[in-house]
Amino acid sequence: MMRSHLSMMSAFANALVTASVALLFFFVLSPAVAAPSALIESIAATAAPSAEYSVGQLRITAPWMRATPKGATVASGYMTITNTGKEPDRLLRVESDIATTVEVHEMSVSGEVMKMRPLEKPLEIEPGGMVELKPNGYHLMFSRLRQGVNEGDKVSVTMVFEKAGKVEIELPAAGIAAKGPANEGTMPEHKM
Amino acid sequence: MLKNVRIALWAACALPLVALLAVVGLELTQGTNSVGAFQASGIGGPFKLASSTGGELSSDDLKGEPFLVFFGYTHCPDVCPATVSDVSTWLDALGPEGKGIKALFISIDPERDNVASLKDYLSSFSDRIIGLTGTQDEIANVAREYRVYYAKHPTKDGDYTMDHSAVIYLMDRDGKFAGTLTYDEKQEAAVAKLKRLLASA
Repeated sequence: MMRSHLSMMSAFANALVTASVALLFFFVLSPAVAAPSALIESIAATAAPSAEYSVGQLRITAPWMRATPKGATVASGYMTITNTGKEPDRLLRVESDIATTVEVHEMSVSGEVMKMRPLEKPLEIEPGGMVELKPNGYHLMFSRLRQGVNEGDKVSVTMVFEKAGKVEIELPAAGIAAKGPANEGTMPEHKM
Repeated sequence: MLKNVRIALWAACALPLVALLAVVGLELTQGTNSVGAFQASGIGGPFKLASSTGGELSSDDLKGEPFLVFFGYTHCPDVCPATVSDVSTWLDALGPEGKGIKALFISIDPERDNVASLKDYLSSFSDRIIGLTGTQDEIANVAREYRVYYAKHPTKDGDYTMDHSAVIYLMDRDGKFAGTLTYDEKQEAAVAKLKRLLASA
């Protein structure tokens, strides 16, 4: 019994040490580690400024899309929408000259089966909340493209929110293989 | 008395752990079973489909060569182009030795994907990926052989999207199922699996 207590205590102590090392790393070292990538980002940002839009209480950051393959009839667009207000807001409508329809779709996987579905209710952004439109999740679905999208294009999109109203934004097109906005493209698998 | 309490406390701690292990264990065995079931029922089979590289490509043409095969459609905005470009990246990462692996993209939307549109679409990625399409029956047949689910889902504007299995199959030189890659597989893991596929006799 004494032994098991000891081993329990030593396991606890171990966990404590691991946790404090992790915390130490997080607080002391991570700024140092983060610094170079922040530098890269700021350099990249001068080359391609990362757009940010405000409308009412909403902020739209990191809008982007992928260049489309030749002959593509559809495209998808991504961004982060943050609600800094006290009321929920809803995305009622999206329009763009490049496509006949633009809807918010959700990609989901159950088992190994992948599905794309338009949202049944307008996308809601909770007060103080944030909604990410990103690959393998919510995305703007541009259907019946009137033109293809090339890397470097800036695609104009009008977003109409219930409370915040209308805002026109630009989605810069990253490469066809991009996993994120162009200014993060130099760092594959980069996670914020 | 104290001993009993102690035992009870240990049991109380251990119980959720045991439950967790049981769940994990169950999931693991189920996972293995499903792969086992795949193998037992034999993923893959003979096919002959129209190829984006011209003419037809049949399973017989692939004898002696390992290949990877995945199913999708060109009217898919998010996952399909990402998967096609991932596959291109993995093949590039294999370097010259990777030339031995063929990569097939089979359309589960033959109504809209013909040879010409597949060729156009794939030209934006890698010339290593061969697009295949066929009649509704031919596609239904190859999908059945590969245990691939697909279904049309109409949208409001009269268009449709396709629900489909997003798995990438690895097939060995004898055309036998050798494993899978997923659409969100990390490059390192994917390349390692492809190297193993190449190394297998």
